Amino acid sequence: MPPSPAITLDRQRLFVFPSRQGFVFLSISLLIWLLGTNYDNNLALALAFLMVSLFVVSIIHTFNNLSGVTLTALAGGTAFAGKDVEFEVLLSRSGNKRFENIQVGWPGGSTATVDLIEQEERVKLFVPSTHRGWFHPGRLLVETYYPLGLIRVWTWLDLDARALVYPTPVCAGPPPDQIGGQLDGDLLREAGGEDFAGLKDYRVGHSLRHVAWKHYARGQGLHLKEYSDYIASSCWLDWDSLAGLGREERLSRLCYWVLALAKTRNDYGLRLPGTEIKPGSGLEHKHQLLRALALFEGAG
Amino acid sequence: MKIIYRIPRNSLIWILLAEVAVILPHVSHLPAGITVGGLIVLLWRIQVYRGVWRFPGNPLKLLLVLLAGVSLKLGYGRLFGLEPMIALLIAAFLLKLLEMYSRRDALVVIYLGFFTAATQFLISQTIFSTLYGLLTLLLLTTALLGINQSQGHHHIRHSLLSAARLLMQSIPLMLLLFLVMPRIGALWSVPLQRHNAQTGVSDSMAPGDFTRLSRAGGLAFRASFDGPIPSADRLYWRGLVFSRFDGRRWSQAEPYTYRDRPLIQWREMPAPEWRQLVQPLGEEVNYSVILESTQQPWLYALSAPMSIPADAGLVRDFRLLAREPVRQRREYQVRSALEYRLAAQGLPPWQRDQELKLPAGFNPETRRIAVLWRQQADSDEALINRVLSLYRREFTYTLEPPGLGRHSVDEFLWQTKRGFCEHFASSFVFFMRAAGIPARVVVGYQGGERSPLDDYLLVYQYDAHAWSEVWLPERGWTRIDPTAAVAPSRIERGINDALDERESRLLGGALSLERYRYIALLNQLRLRWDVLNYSWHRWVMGYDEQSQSAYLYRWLGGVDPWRIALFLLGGSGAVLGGIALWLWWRGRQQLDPQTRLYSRFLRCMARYGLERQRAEAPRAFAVRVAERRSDLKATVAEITRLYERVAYAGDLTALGELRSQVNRFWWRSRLLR
Repeated sequence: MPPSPAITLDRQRLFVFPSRQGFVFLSISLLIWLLGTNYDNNLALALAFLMVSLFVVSIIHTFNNLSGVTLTALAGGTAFAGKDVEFEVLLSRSGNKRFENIQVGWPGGSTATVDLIEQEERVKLFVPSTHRGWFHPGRLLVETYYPLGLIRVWTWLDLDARALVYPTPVCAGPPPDQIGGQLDGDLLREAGGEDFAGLKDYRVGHSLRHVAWKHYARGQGLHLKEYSDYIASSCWLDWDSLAGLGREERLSRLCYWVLALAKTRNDYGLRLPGTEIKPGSGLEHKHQLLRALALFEGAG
Repeated sequence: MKIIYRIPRNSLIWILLAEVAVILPHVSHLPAGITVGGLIVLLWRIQVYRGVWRFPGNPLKLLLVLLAGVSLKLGYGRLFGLEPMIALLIAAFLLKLLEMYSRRDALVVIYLGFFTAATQFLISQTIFSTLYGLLTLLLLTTALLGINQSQGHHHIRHSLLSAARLLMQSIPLMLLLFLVMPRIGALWSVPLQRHNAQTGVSDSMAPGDFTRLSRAGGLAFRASFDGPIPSADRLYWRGLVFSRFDGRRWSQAEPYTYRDRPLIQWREMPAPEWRQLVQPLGEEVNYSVILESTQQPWLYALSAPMSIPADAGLVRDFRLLAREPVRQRREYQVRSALEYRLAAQGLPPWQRDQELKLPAGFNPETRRIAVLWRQQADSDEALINRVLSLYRREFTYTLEPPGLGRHSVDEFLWQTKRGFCEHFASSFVFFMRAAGIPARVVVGYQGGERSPLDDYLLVYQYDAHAWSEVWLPERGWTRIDPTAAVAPSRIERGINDALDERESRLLGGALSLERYRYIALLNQLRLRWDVLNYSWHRWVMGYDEQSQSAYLYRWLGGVDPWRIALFLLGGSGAVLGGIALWLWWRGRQQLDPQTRLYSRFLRCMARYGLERQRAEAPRAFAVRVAERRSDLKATVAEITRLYERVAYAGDLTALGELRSQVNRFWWRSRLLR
């Protein structure tokens, strides 16, 4: 079946088979049938037959508890390789049918139980990621045993779910800029910046806006608060600076640096074979770099 | 992180309720220890459920297991047999409650519950127990459903309703299976061992026995005849024949006193020589008897049984005997000769001795008078008539006879002169034997009540009766009922007529409905209830291999496997199809009336070649239509306006106008094409 983002479950997709519980139930009814046959007891026989009918009728009900549900894969989250990726799946229904106790989950990941009483229901599923790059969790198992647990109705769905997995960050010491050499920014002393830098004596003609009135009130004289700003330093994270390591190792270290630099206010850029991303900063920039690292396919 | 499974509370309530319901029918015969232990366990589990107590520790559990073991041992002394097995099952089932942590444990409890629920039918199969069984089944199904619901499900009533719906939907298929699934006989024999008190006529008779029996309530059996029910004076249901008298008590002759073998002809055996002794005279009647459980092997048949029912035998003295004591209601068919001649050719000497034997040292007065009267009588018949007319003249039929001492017959015949059937039968047979006429006592039931609503006969315990048979040359064994001489109405109209009003109220015990028969309404209800019970037994309990194949022949024209399979497939297909259709109908998309009308309008527009685009608002569509077809402009605008008024402004008064507009438009679209 080709992957598609929204699938409505119907007869062609659903598999039906008795559960282990169902087989035990049938064996119990067989035992009761034996009891009834041996003691020539019509009521015990009737009970055995009623249990079998209950089993048969519950086939329809269990099937009905899944048929008609629409599943849609919503956007997958992001994660670092080896961690759980979050996927969101939307279950929705049309018509008046209630659905109870539907279990959804990717193999190896978490399973969620959904009661579809309202028109739609969102579930978050976590699947452990294995490697960086686009992660496809495979086919989603949707199953139900409701109402009596005797029958299992299930299907494997190829929802078009995917998530971007970044390389696992591996500690590689401080980012290159602090080692020195590649640093090409400098501190710029300039009035009118944002950060408080110190006090200087007041001269006539200076704006009163920057007078440190608290100091003045304490009788320490008239001073001006001085503000300054830094020119953000920018650095290059370079593939070539990690010579001697394998591809994945390099990517992991670069990833670590991206995360470390994202916490500072430095600009940083990335040079990979065939790709160059100019220095910049901010969340968007960080994700651009991580994405480049995640999807890098060049030679190592 | 490990998620600890907890049985949903919703399910737990139903499990506990179902458990109580399953065990309740067994309480009366469970050893007391198990009942008490069960109460402790239940209480404990409820406290755990409420969060007051914790699960018990191992010492207590061990103690409970020991208690169960000891009570089983003391209660039964053995482990094999049905009753100890049921008790063991229940004990295990109760103890499992305290160990119920996981989903699997809960399932074990529920499944054991289903099995235990089946065992209650071995004890009772009445309508009530069937209804009760359905109730337990509903509770068990609800518990099973609850355990398959999600943890957060708290709608207890909803679970019960869903389970009830499931059960209701299963019943048609169950009936189908019940009707056509082939019955095979018992695979191995496991006798029901039950310690119930024996009821009905016992295997010996002393003065006072029948008086007591008549005060015991209850039905003895029902009988339905292939033809009309014979008149009351011919309804002598023979059960046992007593030939031995020890001075006080009559009992059966010891088997070794009979010289010819075999003593009992079982159904599958060839007829022994003594079968030739009986000659039927005149008509024979076919009838079937549904005997209530007696715990005794006697089967009752009219006069001389000519056929032998399954699992039964004919005894040398021409009465029926079951192979096993009758432990549950049992139905059997017999053919009887109402008029017959038995041993008319003469009695062999050993039998003549046996039927004349009297113990020495008892009732000297009666023996003396018997010899005297014998000499004065011309014939046996004259002597018999003289004795009977003595009874008729001087004796009283009463339920409250005075007590009798050592010479019971002497005291009864010449002093007290008040007695019940056993007094008359006993004294008459004693008198006959003392006079040299072979005689014996026969016990069983006499008469019965016709059900006015259905054509069958009800025979109650108070219809128990004792009479006599005397052997006369050429006539053979002849029935003489001395009670009939004293109280002819006893035989013709039943015991209620023979006793005065005060005494007849003593019949049948304080609690039985039979006692209140003189209240007309109650009597009607009683008889109606009995008809229901009788039909229940006939059509449900009595549905066996024979009646099954009879029905299958009638419905399917044969009992070939393919016919049954086809019928089963067709029937279950219809039932399941019906359920599926119902589910679809219930779950289908239900549209508002305005949406339905509007989509009808859209279908009409499609005939003009104008289709609404996806996500095109009604008004935008109307504008587009107006551009393309100016002739439709006004109508479409009006329908759109009305639809918007109903759908968006919630103005339901416009619905009628919308409907007529759409209908008119529908006609218009038809006519144009």
